[in-house]
Amino acid sequence: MVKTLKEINEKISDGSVHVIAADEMPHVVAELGLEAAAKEVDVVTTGTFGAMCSSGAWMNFGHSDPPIKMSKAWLNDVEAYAGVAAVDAYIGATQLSETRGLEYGGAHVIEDLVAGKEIELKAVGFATDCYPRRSIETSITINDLNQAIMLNPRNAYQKYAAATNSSDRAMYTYMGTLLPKFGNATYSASGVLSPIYNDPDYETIGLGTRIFLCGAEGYIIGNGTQHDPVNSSGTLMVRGDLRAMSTEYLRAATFHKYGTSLYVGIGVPIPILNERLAEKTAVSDSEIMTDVLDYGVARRSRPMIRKVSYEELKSGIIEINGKEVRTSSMSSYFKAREIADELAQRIKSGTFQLTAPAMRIPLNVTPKPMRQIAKVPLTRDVMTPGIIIKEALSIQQAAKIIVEKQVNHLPVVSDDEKLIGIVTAYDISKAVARSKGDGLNDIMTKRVITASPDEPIDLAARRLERHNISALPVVDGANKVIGIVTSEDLSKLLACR
Amino acid sequence: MKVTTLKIILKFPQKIMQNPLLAEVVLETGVLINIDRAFVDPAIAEIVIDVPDDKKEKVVDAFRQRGVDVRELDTPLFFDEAECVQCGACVSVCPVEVFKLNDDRTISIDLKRCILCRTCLTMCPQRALKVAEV
Repeated sequence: MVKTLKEINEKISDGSVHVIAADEMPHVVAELGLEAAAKEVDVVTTGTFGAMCSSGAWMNFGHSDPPIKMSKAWLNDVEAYAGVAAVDAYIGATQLSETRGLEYGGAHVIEDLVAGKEIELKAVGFATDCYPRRSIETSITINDLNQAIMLNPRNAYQKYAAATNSSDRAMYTYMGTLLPKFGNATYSASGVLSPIYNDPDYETIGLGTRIFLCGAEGYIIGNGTQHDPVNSSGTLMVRGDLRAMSTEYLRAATFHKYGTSLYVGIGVPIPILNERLAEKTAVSDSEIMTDVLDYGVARRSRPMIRKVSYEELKSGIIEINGKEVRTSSMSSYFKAREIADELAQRIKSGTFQLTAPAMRIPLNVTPKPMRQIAKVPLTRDVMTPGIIIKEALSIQQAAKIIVEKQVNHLPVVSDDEKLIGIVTAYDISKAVARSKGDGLNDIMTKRVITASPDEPIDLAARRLERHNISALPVVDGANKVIGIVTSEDLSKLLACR
Repeated sequence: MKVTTLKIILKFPQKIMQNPLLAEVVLETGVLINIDRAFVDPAIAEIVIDVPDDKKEKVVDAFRQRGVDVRELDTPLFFDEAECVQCGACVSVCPVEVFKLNDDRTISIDLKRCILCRTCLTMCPQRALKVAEV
């Protein structure tokens, strides 16, 4: 032990404390060596400012007259959970407005509250002897609330996988717009400034650690949900007084075609109690590795394209399959650094004392996937053999098959059985009406949207909807047609669920 | 000497969409036009072109004579500094590198390069980028 927390707090009180931001620590350790750095530096401040969907706030509205027991409540048409007592409610960052859709959600309500704006409150409840009122509509500001407490179940991810997209269409995700065919890659978390990466064994971070939370003083109240320290993806649960927060460090965000989230600013001070902590806080971006995942595959386990360091991600370009791919950060390193500096300033000025954790955060846990008791139906379970035709057929012959077999879609294959097109009853009507086209090759759709036999039907259904079509030939790895799945097959199945 | 260029947006009314107007103007004026962005479907044809500053008048006149709606793109994109949190989400989606991440992790913006593709508008989580609808 080089020094105790009590000694550090005394230095904070008398103004002699030495505080630096985490991205300076690698240089200090390189220059002074571990032993001297551990003696010299008292506190290393960390920071992060990014989209943290698992965030929200508890509010107590005070009692109306006559009183109401709210069972459902809405703030600016965004539903808040009111199933706790009479006038308590929790507004979650990703809950969407029932009138404004994806552009306004719980995160915006929280930002508007912090900005001091008027918020429209609506609530309903069933009448009881003690709470006779059935509904209420009023307008409130944050100052009208008895309590407004930010309580975020999962914040400050230690690191986060970067995202890219191998598919041939742009994808709109919570990692932003991912351009087709590896057109770009996006990442999040602050790397060298990441709170948990600077204390990965949770020696000083635990329940009761005082932190900077969106401009206010906040606390870590345990590990976050989905906490995954085993895979260097730990998370924190935090709380703080919303009324002491500033929109400088808290912002509502909208992700296109995804919804809302809250940019949360967190700064965690790491007291340098020993050489071990000096060594850990000297971590640099080149040592922090994360996975680049392919969001082109819409499954729980997305394929990993490669591993990458935060240093490479922050350089603006990474290499994927020999191609230079531009990167974007979704979280703000600039703001993260501002937060680490602001926290350092508060410590130096003597207004922010450090606390020892009252309980350690678990180190040996990892999250489980959801238990699903019903088998997820795959395309192969619902597909029908379909009627497959050869390219050499005439339009007339194809028309005859459609009528005789009572189908609407005919996948067209080459002589070696590979899919080369699809003809629908409509294509044939059109060709006849316009007396156009000599053979199938002239009238068939050549860029065929297909399904694979081992994908869940939900993916096939989403593809039908997105392309506004009604059938997908099912092809194997060699582009050979093994069946067809139609919107009728899917709706029959979904109706049974 | 580097020739400075100017961005111009062309809107083609439906009745003249089928004519090879762009090719006609290039042949007539002899000005080398660069196409930045083109959006054409059965109802709308909108093309953003880059023309050398000193040949602007000639090109604009030639398009107007053919009934094309011509407008200069002076400040195409509006940037709301108060909303920006300097995350840099915009950097990787812009096809013409309007946005640059500086060494101090702030973002600098060169609006003159913008071709109005609008990709950054929906990428920006803070909705700090807007386009004036015309």
